[in-house]
Amino acid sequence: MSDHTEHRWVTPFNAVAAMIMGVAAVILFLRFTQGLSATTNLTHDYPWGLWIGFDVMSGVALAAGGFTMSAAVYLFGMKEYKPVVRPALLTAFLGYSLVVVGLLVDLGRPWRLPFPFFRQAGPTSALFEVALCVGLYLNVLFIESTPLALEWLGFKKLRKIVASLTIALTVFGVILSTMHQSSLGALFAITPTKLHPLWYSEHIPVHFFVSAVAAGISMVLVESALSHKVFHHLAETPPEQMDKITIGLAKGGAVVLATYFAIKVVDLSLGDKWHYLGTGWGAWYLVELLGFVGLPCILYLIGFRERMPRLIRWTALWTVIGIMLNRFNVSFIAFNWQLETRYVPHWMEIWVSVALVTGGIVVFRWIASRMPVLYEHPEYKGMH
Amino acid sequence: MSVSRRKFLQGMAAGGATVLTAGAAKASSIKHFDGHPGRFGLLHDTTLCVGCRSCEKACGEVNADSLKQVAAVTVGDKPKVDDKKRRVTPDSLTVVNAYAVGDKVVYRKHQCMHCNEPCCASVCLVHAFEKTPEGPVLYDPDMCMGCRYCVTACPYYALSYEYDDPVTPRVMRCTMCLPRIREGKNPGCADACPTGAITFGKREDLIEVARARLKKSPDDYVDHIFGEHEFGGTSWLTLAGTSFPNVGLADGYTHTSLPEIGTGFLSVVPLVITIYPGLLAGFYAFSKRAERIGEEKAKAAVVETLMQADEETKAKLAAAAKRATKDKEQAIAAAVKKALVEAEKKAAQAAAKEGASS
Amino acid sequence: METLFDYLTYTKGVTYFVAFALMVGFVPFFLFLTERQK
Repeated sequence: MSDHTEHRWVTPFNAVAAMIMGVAAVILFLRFTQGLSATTNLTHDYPWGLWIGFDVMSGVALAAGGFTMSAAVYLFGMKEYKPVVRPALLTAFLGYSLVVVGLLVDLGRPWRLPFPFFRQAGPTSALFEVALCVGLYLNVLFIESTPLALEWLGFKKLRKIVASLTIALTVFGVILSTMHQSSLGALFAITPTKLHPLWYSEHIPVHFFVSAVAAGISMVLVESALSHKVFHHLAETPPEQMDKITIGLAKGGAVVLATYFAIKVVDLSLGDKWHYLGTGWGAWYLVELLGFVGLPCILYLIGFRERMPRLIRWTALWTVIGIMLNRFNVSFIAFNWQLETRYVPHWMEIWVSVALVTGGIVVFRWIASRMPVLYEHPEYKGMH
Repeated sequence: MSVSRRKFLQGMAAGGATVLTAGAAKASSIKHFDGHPGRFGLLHDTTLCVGCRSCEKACGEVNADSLKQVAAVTVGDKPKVDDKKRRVTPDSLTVVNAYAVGDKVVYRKHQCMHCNEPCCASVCLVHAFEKTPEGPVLYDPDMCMGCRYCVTACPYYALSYEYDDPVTPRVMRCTMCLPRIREGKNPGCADACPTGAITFGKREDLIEVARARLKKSPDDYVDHIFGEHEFGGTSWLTLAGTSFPNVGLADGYTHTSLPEIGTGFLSVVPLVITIYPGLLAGFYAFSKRAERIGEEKAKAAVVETLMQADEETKAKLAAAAKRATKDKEQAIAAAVKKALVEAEKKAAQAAAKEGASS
Repeated sequence: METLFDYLTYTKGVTYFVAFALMVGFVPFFLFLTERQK
């Protein structure tokens, strides 16, 4: 199929992407020659800003679609979702790669990234756990995504070996994802005095894990809606079947969001935090809980019951924004709530984050327009 | 014999379980750590502090070699209550801030507290921090990746980072003058303090000193030594004549250390690693089983349909055969009838011919 | 060991290896378990 697609280099999309990346390159040059202070608004009180809150915390959560979908199809036997597994795994792989790139930009001495594994480990650190799992999971996702390239290149033997590893890789991926998605929350388990009580919880790792599943499902919906719009000539799955998948995912999304809502409310009760709801922080918390967890849950429910794929797709986008808002709240908005100083990201921080997302989209486009992502390779149909 | 043997085995199992769980209980909650014996600490008595910033100046001088830049300090240039509250930075590892309490001004010195169970050390993924036997928490810039998790985690806002250094940025914090302690000298700030507000000594002795002061003049102090138990205790101890939130230290911190709070959840990690394979294999088996049962049901349904179809065909054939015989009989009867009718007609015609001819 | 931090560093470090070994050990266990079915 890809042979029929013409690959033109000068397109409006490529021009905008090149502009974004070009400016980002200049910013990165500044960052690595002048230090973090030249390009960020980070302070001693706010050592973690947008590059952690968005690039790492949100990036990992939004890439949860990979393990969610592969577990659903390969472990739980929900075969009807198979058409979205490949794009989800590819999105996850690119997402995690961008997380690592974002981390390298944020680290003070990025060339020491291998230190925790090869020099000296700090096993008491939740961040060590995250680093270990993200490192391993990146490899798992890489192997899980290789069939695209192997089918494209026609390496049949290797393709067969990878296929025989599917179940083992999926199990390992689910283990690693459970661990690091929750450990990202555990990063803040050690800041009971700095993070606002409404967001701080001894169960914050569980909150992070459950919300990551919701984010993963929603991201699969957003991603498949976009890619089927852009690559409708490549997509093999007929729109009616895509709508069916969308409606099925909405059901899952509704259940996960309802669970997330419930455990958040349980935490209010366990920690006797009801009285905080009456404060300004409480209002902001309710915006997040009701507006970005409760509301999308109900919208998913309506979308599923009334068979409204369009509503479901917009709800998915809303959920993705909501989970990002949660990560922002935890990592810098409701963090240091007792301090008077606040952190507002520098425009260069925002620019670099936008450039990362752009880079991800460019690579996804490049791969999806050449390799069998949205369709099954004719020679490998029905395999796995 | 067999009964007694079984009992013996049961006893063994129960005994083994008891030993294991007792060991686990000791390890998780009963085990207690008192820290390095005889370690040092410092006591800051805010009732004696006049805010002269001699300690700040001395700190800069003593640490001049390790700082990239030293903040200029004029001794006697007292901080004002209205000043923006300063915090420790890479060029001033300690700062004295002024707090208004009633009509009085209270000064408190900020710096790394050197926790008994340092949370900065427990969050470091390259183990760049060490709680030294002398008491100070030591940081190793040669191992540091610059993730700044330690700066994020510190509950006392006592760490800072060299954001303007692109190549060798370090986490900066009070070292409790460890090199001087090892030489047998006092930390710089303790030597410089003109009013005796800062006392250096063994931590256990300092607690006694603080207790004695609280007992001797209970009206001058709030009956609490900040740092004795807060988050597992700190090396720096603080005394104040007003409640601690008034001087920027929160009230009611738990005695549980932050490493204990923060790493609690990490114990679940090995459980996930060991439970998930079996659990997920179970899910997989479950889905395979559902698939197999579905397939078998479908197969059975096909066979049944075939058989049903078979019977129907037989019935149809039989009916058809029956119908055919009937049709045949009818046809024969009709043919016979026709033949008879024709024969009659012929006979009648012949008779008519005969009559006409005669 | 004088501090909880040192104790945690030791136990958590060792447990990473123990748990990982047990997880890898599950693979031959599972293969042995399901071998006859095939």
